Amino acid sequence: MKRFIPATGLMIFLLILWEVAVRLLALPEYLLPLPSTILGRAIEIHASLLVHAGYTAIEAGLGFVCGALLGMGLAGLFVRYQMLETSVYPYAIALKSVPIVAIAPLLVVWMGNGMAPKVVVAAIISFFPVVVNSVKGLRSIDPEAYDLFDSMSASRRQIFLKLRVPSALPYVFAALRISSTLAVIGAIVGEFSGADRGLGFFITVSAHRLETVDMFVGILMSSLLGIGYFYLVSFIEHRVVSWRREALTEEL
Amino acid sequence: MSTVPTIDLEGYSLSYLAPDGVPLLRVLSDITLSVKGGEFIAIVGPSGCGKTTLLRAIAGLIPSESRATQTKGILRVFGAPTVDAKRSRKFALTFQNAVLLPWRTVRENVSLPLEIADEKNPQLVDEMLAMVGISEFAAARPNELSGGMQQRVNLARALVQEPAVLLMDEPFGSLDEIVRERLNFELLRIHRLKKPTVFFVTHSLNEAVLLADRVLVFSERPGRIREIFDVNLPIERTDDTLVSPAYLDIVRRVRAAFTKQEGRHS
Ligand SMILES: Nc1ncnc2c1ncn2[C@@H]1O[C@H](COP(=O)(O)OP(=O)(O)OP(=O)(O)O)[C@@H](O)[C@H]1O
Ligand SMILES: [Mg+2]
Repeated sequence: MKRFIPATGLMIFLLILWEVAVRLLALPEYLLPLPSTILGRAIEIHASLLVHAGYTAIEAGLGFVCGALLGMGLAGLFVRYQMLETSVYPYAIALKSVPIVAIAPLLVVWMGNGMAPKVVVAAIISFFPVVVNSVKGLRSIDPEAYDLFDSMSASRRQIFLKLRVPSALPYVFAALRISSTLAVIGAIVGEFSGADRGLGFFITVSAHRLETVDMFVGILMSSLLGIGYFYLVSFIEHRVVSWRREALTEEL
Repeated sequence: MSTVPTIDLEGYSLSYLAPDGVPLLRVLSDITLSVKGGEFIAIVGPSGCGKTTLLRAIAGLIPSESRATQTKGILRVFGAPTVDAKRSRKFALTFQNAVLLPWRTVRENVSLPLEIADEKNPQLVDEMLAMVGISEFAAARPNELSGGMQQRVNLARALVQEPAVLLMDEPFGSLDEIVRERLNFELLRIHRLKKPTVFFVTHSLNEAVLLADRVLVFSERPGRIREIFDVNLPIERTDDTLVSPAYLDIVRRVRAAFTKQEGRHS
């Protein structure tokens, strides 16, 4: 808990600075509203805000889970079947350079205004870090540990389950942490391209109406959602790879 | 059966290859050795002379048609290629750097070989943990152990396999004198009881002579057998052995053979 104190302190300091600066410079609200105004507005509209946030959270969460599972599964196949890797992996990586913002509208055209296209965008964007790191992790086994399994005449399956997978977990979780925040971005980008609910929709509508306070409220909620997912994954990571304590605290 | 040596090397040489297939480093050169079942062989030699490589080769961990190595000569275990013995789980290894799986507890590390062989024998696991004196750390993770304790887990994991051939790579190097001596006698007791064939790499000449039936002194790289000493001490070895004139005499001769080559180097 102690390690949160400096960061929290800094945030409070910056918020006070922001509040004071805006008041001193007398900036108009439509340019930069006061933090207190934003907070007040968030509380005022919290009911509808939570509905939007919940909607986005479901899209991002579903997309994240699908993308991550697909990434891990494909990585397993790549490591098992060299052929598959040399043929498919380059395309998977090439696909990564296609801007997701450009694909989102197309997906909306194909799948309509509902949740589906957002889930897909979130899944695509979550997928890449997971597949790359999982392949790297599954390959990262200690050669002497491989000798150990080989000397016991372990089957391929046993080597995969008892050596490769556990060795890969730290790499996989590093990717999952990144993907968890990317998934939220993906869902919001999806909503920008056409939606009638969700934080992306809320922000777009507020922008059209030039309601800067609402836009900030939307941004605030989106960030909280991303941070929430990030810490959820970190929490699970601490449980699952508890044997790697030192390495974890170093990264967080 | 008794006519077939457990391990048979004839003019065995091994080179590591560069990625383009060019021989890069000759590590073992013209090794000829025949080991009977139940024999205890100790290997001493300068660092980098190929002791670990020899153990890996015997254990069948260096495939004969590998792109990374080139071998010449004959290496057979129980009269067959090494992979056959590996497949029928004849070998157990202890590793120079313990090689424990960090995500498994001490106990889970020791029972790994049984798991791999689809066996269950919690009693045997407990017995081995107790024997190496690590029972109270059964639930600990390897990164909570000292180097010496990790080595003991490494040893327990090998012994739990009750192997026909036990290949030990400097197993007691990081232990203190007292524990080392106790485990030496423990190892001897197990050897007399179960009669595995043992290859024991060590940097301690005293330890080599105390344990072994034969001590091989290796030359510098490329490792070849420089001299073989038969240790004609009584089968039953005790604290008294360590101060007996016969023991001290062999240690002195092994040391002479060992330093002769070191001297050549300097
Ligand atoms: N996989 C490998 N590829 C290339 N060279 C290797 C490989 N493994 C070992 N070597 C080289 O082979 C030589 C012998 O190594 P080995 O580990 O067998 O020595 P060792 O006798 O066990 O030494 P030590 O007493 O220090 O453990 C060393 O020079 C080492 O650099
Ligand atoms: Mg070695």
